[in-house]
Amino acid sequence: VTTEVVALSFVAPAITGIIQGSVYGLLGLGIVLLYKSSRIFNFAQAEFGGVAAFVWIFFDTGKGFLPDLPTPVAVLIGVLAGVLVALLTERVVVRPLFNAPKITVVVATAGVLLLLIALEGFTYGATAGTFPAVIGGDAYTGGAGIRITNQGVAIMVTLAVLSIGAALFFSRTRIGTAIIAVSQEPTATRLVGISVERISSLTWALAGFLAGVAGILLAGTIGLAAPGSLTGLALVPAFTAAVFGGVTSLPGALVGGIVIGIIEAEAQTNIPKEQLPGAGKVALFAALLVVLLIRPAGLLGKET
Amino acid sequence: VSARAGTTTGIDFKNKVIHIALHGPLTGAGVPQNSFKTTDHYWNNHKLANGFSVDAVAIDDKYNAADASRACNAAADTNFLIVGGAGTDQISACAQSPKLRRLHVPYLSSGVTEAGLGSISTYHATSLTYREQAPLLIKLAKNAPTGDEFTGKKWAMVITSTPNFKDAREAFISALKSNGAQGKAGAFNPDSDVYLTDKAPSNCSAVAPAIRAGAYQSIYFLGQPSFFAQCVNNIGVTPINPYYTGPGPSFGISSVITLACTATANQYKGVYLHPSPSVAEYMTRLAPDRGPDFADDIEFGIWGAMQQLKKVFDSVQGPLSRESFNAALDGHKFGGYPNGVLHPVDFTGDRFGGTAAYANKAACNGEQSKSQTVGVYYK
Repeated sequence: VTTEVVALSFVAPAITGIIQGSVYGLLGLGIVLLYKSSRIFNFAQAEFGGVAAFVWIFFDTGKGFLPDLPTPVAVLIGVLAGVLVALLTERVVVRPLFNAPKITVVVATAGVLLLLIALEGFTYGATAGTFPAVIGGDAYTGGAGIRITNQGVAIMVTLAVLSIGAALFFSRTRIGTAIIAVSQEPTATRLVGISVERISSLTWALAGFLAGVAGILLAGTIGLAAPGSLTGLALVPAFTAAVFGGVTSLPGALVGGIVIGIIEAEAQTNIPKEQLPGAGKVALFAALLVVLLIRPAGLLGKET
Repeated sequence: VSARAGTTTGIDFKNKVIHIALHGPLTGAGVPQNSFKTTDHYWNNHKLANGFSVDAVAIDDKYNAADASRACNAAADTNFLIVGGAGTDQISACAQSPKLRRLHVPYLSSGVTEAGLGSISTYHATSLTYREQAPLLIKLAKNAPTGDEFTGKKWAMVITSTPNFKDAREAFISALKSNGAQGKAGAFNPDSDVYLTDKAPSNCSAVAPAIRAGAYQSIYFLGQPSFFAQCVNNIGVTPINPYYTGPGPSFGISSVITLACTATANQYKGVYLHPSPSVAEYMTRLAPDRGPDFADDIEFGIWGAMQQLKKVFDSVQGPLSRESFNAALDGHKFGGYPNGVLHPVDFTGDRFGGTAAYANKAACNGEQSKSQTVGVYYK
């Protein structure tokens, strides 16, 4: 009994935390990507994922006049929708504000967030609905009630692949180098023939892609979502993951996401509500505070 | 309004119309029901014995007690009476609203908690309360009407932490104990027959492994639909595929079943008590001379509430007022609907008038999941 109780108290929430944290990490990757390239925090990042999730479910269930498509196709369309709204945000909101103070652009992304929630409510209704797992079934069920779903494995694998891909992209490719160059010295970059506008679009498209994948996986993992709920659930943890890991570090977002997920799940499980309401979120911010006091640039970040 | 005639707010004497309001989750994150919006369709233009007709409006409580209280207080100024559509905390907040009590607004709802409601002269529950359903749920499990492993030998109780569920929780534990359950309900112990938690995080992350580890095959669930959906999703169907049950209509609404069916790839198993039979059963009982078709059991419930209200309106003695309407309820009994579609309501003992409940089983079919009636249980 003691072994089972220990496993339930610590191992099971750790597994939940790793899976949930992987989604935070995916969203955090997008946040770091945009911060690295343009020095802004994108408040609409999680809702790009929300749009992707709703578009996926529209095509997966054949809502209204839309065709009822096979799940993989619907997922692909959903991810593309995430990319599209990110591109539109860049073209319509961010680019006209290129020369405005960064805080103006940040506030503008908050406006985009509100607009996207309104659009979701308009098309889906101001209601919660079901989102099935993209990949059903269990990968592992074992002692002490531990269960790892195929969807959970898919999330962790996706995070690993995309974070390694992103790291290689920035360190090994010319476009990746160009993105960093634009963020550090846009005028000089323009002088050597790199289109700052094109690089900006590309960066936002990548961020939209990451958010789209994260949104679809998160909605399918929770099983239930409403307009704006992905922002409510994941934006603050994703920001925290990005800052926790070091806001300019892509591996930092990955590590930060997983650490944040574990801390949140362990606190939710082991700290009674009566003693500390909202223990998960409180523990999350306490951990962030400690890291920033000891290492202001975050776990893996560098002072710039 | 005269002292002699009583309070007649919400009655349009000139046009012979009685205005009433029903509150429910039209929007919000609590799996709101579009079916609540059909209130006017089923209620309006019903002619009462006194020659008046009803004009009903659905108001949004957003599945939130504070919003429900605000909505009810506002509705009290223009409506004769108010009906609570769903949600224990919302119903409790409206029933206990000082304004509604001061203005003598008749307030009716399905049976939920009894805490703080039994002494309110303006409140009446038209179906069994959670406390009253506890022994019936044990009977339901022992009868195993579903023909499979639902025997209620080992129970997990997943309950939202709210004082309004305290009587439900205590009544069910008491019913379990009187039926031989071993072990103390409390901290997780796989050797105990009962595992109780009202401290679950919203995604049930800590509860799901405990239920799997303890092999609890019957789950008594009491919480809001979104919490329910996430828990079913997290608990999953392997290595055990538990049976869900509980009091109240929450599990009966089609959308909630659909949530659970989707979360488990149609392997969800649930049987619950409900004031009325499933829509399919209703069709069978009234065929061929049946009333309207219903999209789901919320619509059916709204229609049923109208049938009950009509009987009360028709039984009012003397001039119609809020006071005479409340007096028509207190201490009186009202017959059911033909063919047992609706059970009688009996306020002769107290203000909790429910007399029986249907056992409805979830039927996942992959699209619009429904329920089917598998029994009737009497108080």
